[in-house]
Amino acid sequence: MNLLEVKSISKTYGEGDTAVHALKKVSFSVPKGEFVAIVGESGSGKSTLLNMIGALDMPSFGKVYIDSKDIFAMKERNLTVFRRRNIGFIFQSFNLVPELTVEQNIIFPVLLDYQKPNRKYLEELLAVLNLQDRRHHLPSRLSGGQQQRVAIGRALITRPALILADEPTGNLDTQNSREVITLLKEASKKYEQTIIMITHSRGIAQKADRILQVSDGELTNLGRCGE
Amino acid sequence: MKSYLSLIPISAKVRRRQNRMTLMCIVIAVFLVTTVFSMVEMMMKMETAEMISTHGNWHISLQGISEEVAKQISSRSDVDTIAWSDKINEEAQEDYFVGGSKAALYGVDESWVTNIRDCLEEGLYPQSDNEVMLSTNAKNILGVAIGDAVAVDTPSGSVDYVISGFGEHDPEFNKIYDAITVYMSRRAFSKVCELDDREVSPVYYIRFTTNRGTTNRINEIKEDFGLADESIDENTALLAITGYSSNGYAKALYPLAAVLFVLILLAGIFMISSSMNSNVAERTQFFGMMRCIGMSKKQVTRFVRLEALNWCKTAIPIGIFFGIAATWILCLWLRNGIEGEFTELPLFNVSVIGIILGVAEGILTVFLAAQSPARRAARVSPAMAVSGNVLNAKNIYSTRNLGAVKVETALGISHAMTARKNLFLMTGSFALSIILFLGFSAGLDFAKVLIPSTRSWQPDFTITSDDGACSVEKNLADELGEINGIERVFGNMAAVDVPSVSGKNVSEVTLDSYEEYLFQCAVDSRVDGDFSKVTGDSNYVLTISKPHNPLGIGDKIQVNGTELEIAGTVSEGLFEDDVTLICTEETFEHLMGKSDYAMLNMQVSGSVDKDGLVQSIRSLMSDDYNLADYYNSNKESATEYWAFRLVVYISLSIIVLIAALNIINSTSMSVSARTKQYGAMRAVGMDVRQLTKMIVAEVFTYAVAGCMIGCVLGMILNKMIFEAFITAYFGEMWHVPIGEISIVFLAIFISAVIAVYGPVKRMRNMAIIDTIGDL
Repeated sequence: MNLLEVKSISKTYGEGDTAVHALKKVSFSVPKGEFVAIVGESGSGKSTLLNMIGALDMPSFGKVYIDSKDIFAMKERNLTVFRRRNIGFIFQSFNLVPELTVEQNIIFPVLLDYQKPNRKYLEELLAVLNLQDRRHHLPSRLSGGQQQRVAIGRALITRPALILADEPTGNLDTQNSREVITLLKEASKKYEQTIIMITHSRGIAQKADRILQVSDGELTNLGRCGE
Repeated sequence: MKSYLSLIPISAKVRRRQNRMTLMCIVIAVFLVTTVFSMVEMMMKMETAEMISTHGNWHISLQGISEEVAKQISSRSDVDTIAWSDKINEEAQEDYFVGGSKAALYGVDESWVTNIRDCLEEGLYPQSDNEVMLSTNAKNILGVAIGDAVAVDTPSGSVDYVISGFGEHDPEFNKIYDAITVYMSRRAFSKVCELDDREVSPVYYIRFTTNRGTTNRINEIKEDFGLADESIDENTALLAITGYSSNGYAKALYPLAAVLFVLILLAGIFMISSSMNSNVAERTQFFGMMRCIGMSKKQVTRFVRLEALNWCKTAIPIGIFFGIAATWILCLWLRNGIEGEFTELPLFNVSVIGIILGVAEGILTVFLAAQSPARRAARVSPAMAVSGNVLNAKNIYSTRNLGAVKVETALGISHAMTARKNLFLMTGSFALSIILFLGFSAGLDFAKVLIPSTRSWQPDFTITSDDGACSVEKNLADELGEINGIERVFGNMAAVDVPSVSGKNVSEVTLDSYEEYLFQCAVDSRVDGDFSKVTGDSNYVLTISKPHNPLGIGDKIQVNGTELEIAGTVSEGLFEDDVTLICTEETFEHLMGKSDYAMLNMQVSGSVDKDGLVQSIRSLMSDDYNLADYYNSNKESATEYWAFRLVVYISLSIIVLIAALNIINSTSMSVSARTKQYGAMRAVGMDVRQLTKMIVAEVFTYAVAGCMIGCVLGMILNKMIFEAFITAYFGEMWHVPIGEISIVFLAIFISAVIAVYGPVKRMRNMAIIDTIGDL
């Protein structure tokens, strides 16, 4: 069963002669639990595509279904709640809340939902992310790799069906990059989560189940890794 | 582009909307200074006209000098006008009359009438020794016209004159309405003095060509002619208002004006600096990028300073335009709405001083205010351009109250607490506003008790008997009440220096009776006690709290053999001797055996035809009664109180406006600096309502902290001022100024709401991807 279905998504910036077609009728689907890497040159439209899937930006045409729900048919408030509960984001520059500790940053989306975090699951996440000793530290006292692990924890805490990662290893060294990707893969398997990750690194893309390439706003399925 | 600085106008065009707040701050600063100093100049012009009208248009007067010395002084090149003047019976104490009315006699030169006092209204200055000029009120009182004969009765006989003209009567003359001023030539005046066998003592008035250098001129004249200090008098009122007096008090006013200028300057710097900081914070990445592509720190500093000065091109003319417009509107309103001495305010005048100071304020404050933002911009590292991370890790504190309140509220409070310097400034700004507001309000209370016309029982006219005893008939009150224009008539009996016996060592008291209306007024000035006991022919009385009055509630005092008990105390009363007892009319009759009034007081309703009203009152009065007129002086002091209130309210508005702008700027700056963070929060699930709550929590943390500190300190100050100036002298007890505090809270609440509205609207209208930059 497909968790994500992207149907004929187009995005055009500007009008007339100055119009820029960032995405041209892109369609694809991703089944539940699959780890997909999107590769492409800078300005090819891959970030625009990820913004559409995450409902952070509106397409000019087309639809996106997550778990069979048309996300652009939802009202702003419902969409926010849907995003909070069903989509986890991992940013290149981590974007943690500087005033919150590691633990508080991780449970932040749960708190936004006015719920109490599942302590057992939190402890499990902290253990998986190897952040138990750092739980009361502020982000400013963590290394880049540790901050990205906190961001992964934040993306996983609501057990979202879909995780969107925009170059999660962009600011990390080789060792930390490897660890982050391993964590993502493990999480994808353990919690049956679908991951869509943008990367410039062919090496990292090879770790995904499938690779999609975006070029001049058009999508090409490069097929399964190793095929 | 000729240089990198050519980017400034280009950037200004692109960032027109973002620069609006900074521009508005400059406009407000220039507007305030232009308005304040334009109004000061207009007020100076008004006061000068008023001073000339009241005290005359002269600089110094000399007494006891010879004609020869006067001639030598008049030949000085710096002397513009000279005139001799002498007067008799200016306090209406002696037996000089014109047609039965009391008269003051002035022996003056023509230039005194036409130049020094400029009081000629109709006809001519007396052209011969048998002509006189009378004050205009003589036309009504005596029913005379120019050319009519009039007899001036002196203690030694009567002299006949012909009326040559009419003029204003001397405003410094006493307030007895029916007293007439008689102006005559100096020769005619000498003849009257000869007749009455009294010495002439003329005063020589001098007006110089300019106000400047009066002090030096006085010293020169003193030295040249060997004059003593006592023989020279300065027209202090006029010189002080034009700024050239040697009088110490008058000189103290000018440093005060300078302090006001510095205060506005500081407030302007504070406002603009805050706004520019916000502007720089919004463009951290821009400055980082500039540094990345090779701009030095010095160049960034220069860029920000010149950018600020570039705003002056637009903001200063706008500020000046609004300043002039506001001055015109204020002058119009004061002239036509409040009247009184404001009728002398010039209309549609442009104050050069106001404009110059407005421009200076704009340039100076912008230049000084740009220093801190320029340094801040220069400190932006190229790395910040890449990361966009403007928050300083050193200043971040952990959010501790996450469990106690909702996450967005906790974060908002944390944002306020994190910026310690900002929190201190914001709290201080609010606290200062409240402290000043409450301080000023105590000042207003003090002004109110000082100005008689603000008392509810202050009469406009009073009838007393010649002998000063209780002999004004009671039933006259009813007849006076029938006169059209008289709103209220109330009488009181009074006896002074009444012997008394008391355990508190009070041997004499002033006894005063109040009727119903006066008792109602007494309740308003109640300090303590049970007023209901003071009714009918009881032995209970009230007393006025005074520093030298030892009597308090429950004390007993014997007056004319009757023991009286103090039932209550008031802060003010009709007669304010050291020990004044207030009783009912029945008690007064019982104690003193008198049933008529010592005084009949009248209050008029709104604007009335004063001359007609006075005629109606006089037609009912016996010849043994005197009519005292407080109508004009009440109006004048009411005007003064209005002017004082206006100054206080404008000052308070400025204070509150600065605090409001400060919170608006700081919130905008805080939100701008966290735009990316808010974007990330929205991406991970924070909705707009939660975002709004977070910003509200931040703003209200500042506001609540400011209100708490401000209220505590402000109330202490308010209580101190009140007790030092009002309780100590008038006995009135201090109460928590709930009304004032409510106004401050409301003003702060409104500012906080406005402060939240802008940034929330901005964030709401921005797509998440615009706020976050990259995902």
